[in-house]
Amino acid sequence: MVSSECERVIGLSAISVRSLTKYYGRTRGIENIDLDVEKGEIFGFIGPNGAGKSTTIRLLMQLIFPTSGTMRVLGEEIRGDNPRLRRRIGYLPGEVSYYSDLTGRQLLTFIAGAYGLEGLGRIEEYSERLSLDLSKTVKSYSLGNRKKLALVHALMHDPELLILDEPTTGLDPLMQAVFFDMIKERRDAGATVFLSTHVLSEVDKVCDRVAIIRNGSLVSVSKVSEVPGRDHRRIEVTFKEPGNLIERFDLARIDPDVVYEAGVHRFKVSGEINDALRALAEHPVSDLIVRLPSLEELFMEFYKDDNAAETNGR
Amino acid sequence: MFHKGIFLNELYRSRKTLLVNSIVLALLMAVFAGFSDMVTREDFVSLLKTYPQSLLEAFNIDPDIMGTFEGWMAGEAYVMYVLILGIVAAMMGSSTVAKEVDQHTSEAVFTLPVSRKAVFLSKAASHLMVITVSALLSTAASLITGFAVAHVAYPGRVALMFAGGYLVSLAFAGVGYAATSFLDSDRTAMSLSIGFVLISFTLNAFSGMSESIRWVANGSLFHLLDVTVIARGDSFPAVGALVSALIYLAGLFGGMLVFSKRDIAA
Repeated sequence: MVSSECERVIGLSAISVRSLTKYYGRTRGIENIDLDVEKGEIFGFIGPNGAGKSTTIRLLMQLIFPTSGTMRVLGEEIRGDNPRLRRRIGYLPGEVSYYSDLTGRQLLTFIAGAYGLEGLGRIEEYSERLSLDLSKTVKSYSLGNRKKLALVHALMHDPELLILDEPTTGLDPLMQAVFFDMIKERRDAGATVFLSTHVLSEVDKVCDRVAIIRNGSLVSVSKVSEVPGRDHRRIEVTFKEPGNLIERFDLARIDPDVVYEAGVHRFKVSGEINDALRALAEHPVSDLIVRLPSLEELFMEFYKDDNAAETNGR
Repeated sequence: MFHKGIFLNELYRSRKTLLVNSIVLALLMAVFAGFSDMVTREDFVSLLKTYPQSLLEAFNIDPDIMGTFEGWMAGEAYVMYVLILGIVAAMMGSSTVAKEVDQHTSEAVFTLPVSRKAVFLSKAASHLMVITVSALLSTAASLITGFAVAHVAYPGRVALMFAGGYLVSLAFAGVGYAATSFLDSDRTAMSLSIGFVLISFTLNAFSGMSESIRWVANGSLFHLLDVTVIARGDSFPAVGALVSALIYLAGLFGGMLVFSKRDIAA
């Protein structure tokens, strides 16, 4: 029996998976994943290599089938091959490979035909924005140009859901900015974006919510601003007196994990920072920076702690 | 279940196979037909009758009908025709999915809004087109050359022989379709295809060496159709033709069903 709350969530969800599990023989892909991606949001999906990001995406794209669990995408339950549902999804794979002997235009015309699109309106428009020359053969394209081709492929049919796996790899910063503009436009038009990436600054920049996956299981789903540890502060202090002053000034009382690197003492402080600032002010300071941790720092810390726990556990 | 775009794209990608295979096979058949008058001489046929029966059977040679164009073409020419067309057909069948996985194009192709069954059948339809065109051109080349430099008494029998060989080649394609979902390398697919056709040929060839091993021919698709029967004008081996067609269809639809339910390798 599905609760009314659950029904409400599923109704609003672009992606809703329950107890999703995939094993490749005896090898674990993902295990018991529960996830809801709401319609109209940009959802970040992060995790280290082998965590299960690609497995999840390949399941959503029906390239592989689950060992157990259920998946609903855009209101339709995925049971086997569902080309009608794929028509509503734009997919950008992590590794882009196309028929190399076709020109960009031939390839995109072929793909447009599969989507039942007439003419090259959107293709020309997106290619122009991404500065992609469609007259060249795919084999002559650089990695960046192949990525642009895949982006045009993913966007050409104005999909309701975009599933993007490492979308900016190979794109120069200028093209990355164009790409994010295009993604935001799609979101503004009501589309949902599921973004898997290693580049955490991208998640910070564009995502509404983020899920962290590790060893095939989801370990955290939250708003980007509410990622565990996001309320901590990083304090970087340079004292007028040179050298490592951790012991001399007893800086471990502020943060037992304080480190000294390249003339700077680095602290992590949770909660109120007044006590820390007061303690630091007891000594002559030449520079002081107080900032929020980046998602990248939290991610690295999270996995460092986890790996350490795992190593100790062995 | 059929997608024109996938069909045309596959046909475009197979254009070199179509061109090379058609030219090579048509030239080869033209060469065989061109030599017809030299080898159908009475003295040559008498010489053949002195050869060991096993050797003659290995190359489908029946000295009793070797004095005719039809008899000559039913021999080594037919064997070469099925060997080449069969290898090409098996390779095309076995690469249907394996090539996409090997070249990492599977993610792009199998996430299109076209069902897996439609992709599979549309690709197979283009393969059928390539094999059919090659077979027709080879038949035409042998007949045209035969009419030009030899004496073709029964062109219909020659056409029927080539049609039989075409069906046997399709059976090889069927085996390829049945196997393709389990393969993730194009090279493996090619090696298996060539190996399977050659083993099939060898089993059939060696089965005539002794009565005690004649049964091994049953493991060969070359054994499905006896074209010397056609060359003699006795009848058309309808059962062999039907079994060949059934192997093709079973492989094709079986392979398609397996593929529609299998995970696609990354």
